[in-house]
Amino acid sequence: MGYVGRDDAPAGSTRPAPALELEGLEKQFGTMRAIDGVSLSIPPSSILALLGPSGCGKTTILRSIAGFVELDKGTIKLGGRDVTKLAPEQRGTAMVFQNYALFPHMTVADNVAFGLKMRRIGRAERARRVADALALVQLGPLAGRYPGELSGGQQQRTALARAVVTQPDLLLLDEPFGALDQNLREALQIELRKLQQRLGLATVIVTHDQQEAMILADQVAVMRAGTVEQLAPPAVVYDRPATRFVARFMGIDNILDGELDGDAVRLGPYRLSMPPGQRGVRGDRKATIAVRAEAIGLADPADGWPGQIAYATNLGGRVLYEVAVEGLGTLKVDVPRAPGYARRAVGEAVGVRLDHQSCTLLRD
Amino acid sequence: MLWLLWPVLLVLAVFFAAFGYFVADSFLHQIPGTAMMAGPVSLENYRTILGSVLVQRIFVGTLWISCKITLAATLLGYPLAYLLARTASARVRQAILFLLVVTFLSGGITRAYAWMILLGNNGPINRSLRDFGYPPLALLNNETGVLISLVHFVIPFFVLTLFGTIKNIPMALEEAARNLGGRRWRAFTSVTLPLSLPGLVSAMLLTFTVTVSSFLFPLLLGGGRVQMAANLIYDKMENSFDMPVAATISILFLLVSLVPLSAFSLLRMGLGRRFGGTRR
Repeated sequence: MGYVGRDDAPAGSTRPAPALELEGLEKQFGTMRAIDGVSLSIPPSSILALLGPSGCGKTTILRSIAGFVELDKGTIKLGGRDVTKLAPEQRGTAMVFQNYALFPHMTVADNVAFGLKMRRIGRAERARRVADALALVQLGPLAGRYPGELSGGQQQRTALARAVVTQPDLLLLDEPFGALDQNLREALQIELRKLQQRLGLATVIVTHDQQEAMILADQVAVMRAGTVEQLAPPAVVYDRPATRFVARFMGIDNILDGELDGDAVRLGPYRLSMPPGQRGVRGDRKATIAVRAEAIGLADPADGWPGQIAYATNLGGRVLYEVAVEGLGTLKVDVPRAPGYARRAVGEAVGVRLDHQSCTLLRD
Repeated sequence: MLWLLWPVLLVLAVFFAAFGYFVADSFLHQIPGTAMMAGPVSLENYRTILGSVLVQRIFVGTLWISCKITLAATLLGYPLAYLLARTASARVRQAILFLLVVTFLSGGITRAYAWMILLGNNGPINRSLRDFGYPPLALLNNETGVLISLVHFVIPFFVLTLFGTIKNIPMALEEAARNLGGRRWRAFTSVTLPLSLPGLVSAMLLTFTVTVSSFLFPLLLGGGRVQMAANLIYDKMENSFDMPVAATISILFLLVSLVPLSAFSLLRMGLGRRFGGTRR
């Protein structure tokens, strides 16, 4: 691997250095703090997703790793090597840009060969590696086409081949599926995940799509206003969001405010005992609980918290109810709909049952 | 809706009729001592003009000056257009645009006289040279003065034409080139420069066209030593009152300048097909 030097990785360390370490990143644009103290690290061969709404700073972090944004503070290390002050071309990252940024005046093969040419790799080896990379993304037959003659999915795969052919230390993906339609997206996400695992390529992906983060990532950093709100594996972020913001962003509909009562939480007239690890996170007596609509069941009125169906929406395989619970307010309840399932009528009296294992105590 | 075209067609008809008269005049000859023309119809003027060494020299000189101006405008204007398109600072962009537009809108005569003052023997340039003990430079009443003032005249045409093309090349392409290991200069030469070629050729075409027909600057800053084609034609019309010869020179120079202009246009079309069609 001619270009990318790993010589300055710390000698004698027993564990391999993290593929990427960010320490105390800060960046201000005018009056806006785009990155407000972010520290993260990624073990070799794993994928980190930076997940958040637009303007949360995730793209700025990605661009600062690539060297396109000059940081106010903080250090960036790739495989133990400090690259904070290096020019983009010296960092050994490879980026798939949001709209792919393919060179429109070069063929697919020339696009993929570009990084190798810049690294002064000889013609024969270049041709072999370009062919390999194109085969990897199944674009071999289209090598002579121009980007303007490709479909969106083919362009995306060209951009991916152009990035991985350089054998980068770190792959950076900026909303790589944003320009594709929904049907194609999921198939390509799974394909990308398999490719990344096969190549063992440490990757950072920026996305605002929580499902994309679920499919692709080993770790998810949920971002808000330039800070990391929660850093955890996808299942944890999904099941146990740390804050109100994360819970909302992960699509949790029911966020209930109550008070701590020993090992339980008092919600209006009801008492909900909490599972271990979900007790007394906060200093004060207040408690906020997040429950997914799918974790709530409907039963007879006597069998749970009494309420009334306020609205029902058919979602194909599921029915989403809004249930007015006495003394508590409206809860959203998501019930799977098997064939022959009789939808409950608006106004029907029901009992609401919460699976307390699925309740998460939030930090704020 | 076609009736909307009538005013334009009328203007074009008058224009081409006048041009037709002009062409017809070129086959007549001047009645000596008058501004009148008479037959018989002949190719005599063409034979004389084509054989004239003076006219040949002025034609070649005009094309050569236009080449030099186009080259100078490219070397000065490309970096300016690039800066204008790529600067992150709105203030820098506004300042450059302001200067270009002011230059563009201030009249030719105003600028010619401004240059006469600046470049003259007692102008600020030569005065400061003298103050520092250097000999003065001959900047006025020669080709240098004409070149300087013409470059200044065409720069706004050049930059404003090229600027849009560069601005339309996504910044991400250059970033991608650098991310893939290309230094800043390589990223520019292998991505931005080739993609800006259609705009560059358009800007050069426009610059060449504007220069080749220049009249005022050679007249005012050339001191009679620099005659370009338009000056020669003017001289024949207004000093010799020889309309048929003026017409002949005009037509011949039009034909001569069409050669480089169509070469540029063909190049532009070829580039458009190559770089315009495949862009997303």
